[in-house]
Amino acid sequence: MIQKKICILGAAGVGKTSLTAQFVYSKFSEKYLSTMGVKIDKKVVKIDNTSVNLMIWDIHGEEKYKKITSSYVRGSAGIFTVIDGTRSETIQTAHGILERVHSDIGKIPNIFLLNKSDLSDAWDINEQALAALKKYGDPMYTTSAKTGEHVDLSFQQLTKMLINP
Amino acid sequence: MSNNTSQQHEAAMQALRRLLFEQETTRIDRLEELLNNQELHAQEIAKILAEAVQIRSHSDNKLGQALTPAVEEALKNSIARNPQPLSDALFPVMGPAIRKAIQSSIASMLQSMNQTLEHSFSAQGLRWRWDAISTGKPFAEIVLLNTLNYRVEQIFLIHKETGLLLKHIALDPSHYEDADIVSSMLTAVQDFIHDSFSSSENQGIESLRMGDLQVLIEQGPDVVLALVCRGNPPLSLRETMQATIEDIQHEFHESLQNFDGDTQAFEVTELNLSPLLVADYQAKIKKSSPLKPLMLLGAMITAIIAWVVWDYKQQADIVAQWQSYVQQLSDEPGIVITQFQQHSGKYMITGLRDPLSHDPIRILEKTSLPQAQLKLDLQPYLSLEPPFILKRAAHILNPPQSILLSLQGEALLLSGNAPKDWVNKALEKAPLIAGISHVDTSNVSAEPSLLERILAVLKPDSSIQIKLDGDTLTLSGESSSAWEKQAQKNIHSIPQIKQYQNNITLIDSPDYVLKQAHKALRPPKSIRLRITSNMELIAQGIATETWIKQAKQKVKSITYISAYDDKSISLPDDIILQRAIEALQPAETVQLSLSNNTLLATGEAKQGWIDAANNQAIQLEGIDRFDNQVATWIDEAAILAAAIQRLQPPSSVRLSFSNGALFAAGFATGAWISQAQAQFGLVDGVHSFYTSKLKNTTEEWINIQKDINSISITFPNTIAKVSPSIQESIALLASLFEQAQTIESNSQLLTKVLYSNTASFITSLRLKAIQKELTTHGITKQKLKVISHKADTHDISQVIHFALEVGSNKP
Repeated sequence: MIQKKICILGAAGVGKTSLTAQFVYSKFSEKYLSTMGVKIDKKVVKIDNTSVNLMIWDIHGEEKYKKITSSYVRGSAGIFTVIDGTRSETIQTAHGILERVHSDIGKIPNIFLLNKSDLSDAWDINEQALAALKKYGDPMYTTSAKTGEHVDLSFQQLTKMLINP
Repeated sequence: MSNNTSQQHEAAMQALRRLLFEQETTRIDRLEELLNNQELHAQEIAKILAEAVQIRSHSDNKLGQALTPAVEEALKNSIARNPQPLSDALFPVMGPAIRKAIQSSIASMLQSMNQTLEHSFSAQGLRWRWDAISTGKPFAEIVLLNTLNYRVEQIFLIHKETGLLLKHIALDPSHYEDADIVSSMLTAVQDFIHDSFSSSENQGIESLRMGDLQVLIEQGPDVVLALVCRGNPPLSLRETMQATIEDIQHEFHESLQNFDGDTQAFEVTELNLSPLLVADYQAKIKKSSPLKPLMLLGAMITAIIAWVVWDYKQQADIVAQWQSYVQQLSDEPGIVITQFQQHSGKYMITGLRDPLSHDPIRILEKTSLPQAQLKLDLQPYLSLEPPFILKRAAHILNPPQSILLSLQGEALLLSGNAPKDWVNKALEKAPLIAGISHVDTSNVSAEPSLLERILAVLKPDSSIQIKLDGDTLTLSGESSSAWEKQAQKNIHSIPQIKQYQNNITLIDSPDYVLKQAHKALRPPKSIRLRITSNMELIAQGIATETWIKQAKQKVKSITYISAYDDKSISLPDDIILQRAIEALQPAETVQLSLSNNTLLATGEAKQGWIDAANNQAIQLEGIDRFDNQVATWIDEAAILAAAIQRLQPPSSVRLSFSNGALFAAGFATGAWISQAQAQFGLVDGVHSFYTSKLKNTTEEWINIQKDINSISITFPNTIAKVSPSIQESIALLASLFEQAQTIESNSQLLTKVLYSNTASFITSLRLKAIQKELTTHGITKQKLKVISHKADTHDISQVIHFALEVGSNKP
């Protein structure tokens, strides 16, 4: 079976762990996130007739004084960059993370996830801010870890990008 | 001429060259041929191939590794074509190898049996077995844990960069389903430690330990090898791990360099990794001294002799105690012992026993002898000793205390006072008792029976039942309270009655009469019956007329009821209300309701109906009060229509009517306003006319406002862009606005904006786009507000309506 390592990145509180929990049944406790800064799960995704074993590294949220550990991202075949749709400042964090990933390990497949789409009343992202992300040329989905909207679809899409680069 | 000279010169040089370099030229030609001719190459290599292979094999094993795929392929082809030659070639090797394997297996089995016997019957083995029972673990696991030096239980081959698992081997693979996650976590832990302590790039974790479990980690350039061991592995295991990594790095160099997540190529690494799955156990436990069993045997024999002596003495004491018990029974009146014997640890006593004699078990309980060892076989018999005959007679005849029993020969003598019926019974029963032939009652004076006396005193009628049980009298049945009171008083005159049980039901008590009333009248749940101390039956609550009538008749048949009061019964609310509706005939705009006998009317009705209802309502049955809250009905729509007919407002004016007042809002010319104010009084029902929301303006401004209202700006797609057609509409809007401003500097204009989009943030962008577009046309103060929000945020098919209100900058 083909195995791929993917990472879920983004600012603190954007919903990375909830998105992972929506997609997989976690074997390990979330305490690993607070202690080691990473929690690893797996899920087998089937694309056409190919089964891919995704090793999903849920990496701690980036904060001002706690940058994402590059060594965790090294060796990843692809990443999700998660943005909180109700906090426009998380876009800036996403920019920072993505620039660092490009600098440290080069350009790899990425999907932007505009999370918390269920909170439409508190939506804080405008067209201009989104336009700035388009320079990377990466796909973008609105997701909701609460309702499950587009979660499976996003993982399927990233897996397709990994096996058909 | 000169040409000939040159040719001669060249020939001379050639001759000179031949003389000086002929040998070298020949050797260069041979070397050139050697380099260019492939056949000669093979011949040359064939000369040194054997030596070359020998030399390289001595230096390292890389030649063997390099040749492995080719040799494997060659063997495969050979076997596929004809397996016989290879089979013949291998036979001398395979025969002894198979025999050796079988011998080894048998030896291993014998050793295993030896170990099992030793572990099962040695002191240590018994201790381990006890540990297994007390901890709930299998015996084999306890043995393993006590004899294990170390054991490799799992092997992880991990791709260094990605942390992905290339190969996993375990002693029991079914226990380790998530090896790939463990592999990733091991990598993450290494990264974490590495980052936390900023160690050098080439350094990594070498081992992790938890209890007796240890993870040994060795790093290669592209792979990480992790061994999960139990116990204390030797240092040499690390060398083996390093050698395995080197082999894998070399053998799978290309696959590792081009690794893209497909682990298929690494399946065969099992051959490299399996040798690491080793275990090492402690050497056999040292044998104990041969003297120990002899000493143990001697101690056991001594203990057995001591136990036999002690047991013999104990048995002798017990037998003596049993014999003493048998003697005690033999001395007891009414008990005859015929045989006493011991058999199979039990003591059997056989004989006869009068049932009135002392219980042998009670006698046994006074000794320390165990009842379980006694087997008693005492057949019943009747003892004819005088004390037993008298005891038996007293037991059967149950004489009153005033009678004395005595025996004279076989005659039973009775003396004293006794009721006649008892004397008669004694005469019948006594001759049947063993040892008594007849009864002498000459000394007995007869007296009337107790029941006869009770009947004489109480004089009960047939509805009373009397039960006499010893000195307890029980009366039951039905009686009047007067008879019951008298009976209770009279019973005290009979001293033989010690206890009196009164179960009489008093038929003239209020409770009884009330029960009878319930049975006879069967009232509905809404009716409550009660009875006064004067035996007056009162009915309260709600009931139908039929039940009320029937109750009046039935109550007459109930005895002891002095009077019946049903004045507090009322009819049900719904019947009263229905009757009220039928009588008053209210309009649909009137609502009637009934509560606590008060009829409430609300809504609107004509004054005539209100007056008639006030007169009729209180005369209806079940209605005590009429609360008429009905308002006088005014047809506001008709009044508004009449006002519009009379005043003829322009389309920019909206008229409304409420509570006698007419309201005008919008825009109108001064001429129309004056005319309307003069004429509103001519409309019936209108007593006021309010024009505060009416703006006095010109005909021209009103027309411009109409044009503005007719403009609808529609965004048909989800992109927040202002299309040329919308720009045109906004430009026209701005132009009309400018015109309106010249006429009315403080004008407020309204137009409609339609959206067909989904997410609110996109809507926000559109509003900003319109604002921006308006600004480009010089309209700097604007505001947009939602006037109708029909869309669900998840349903893009819906449309959202907004109003665009444009105001002036001027104060």
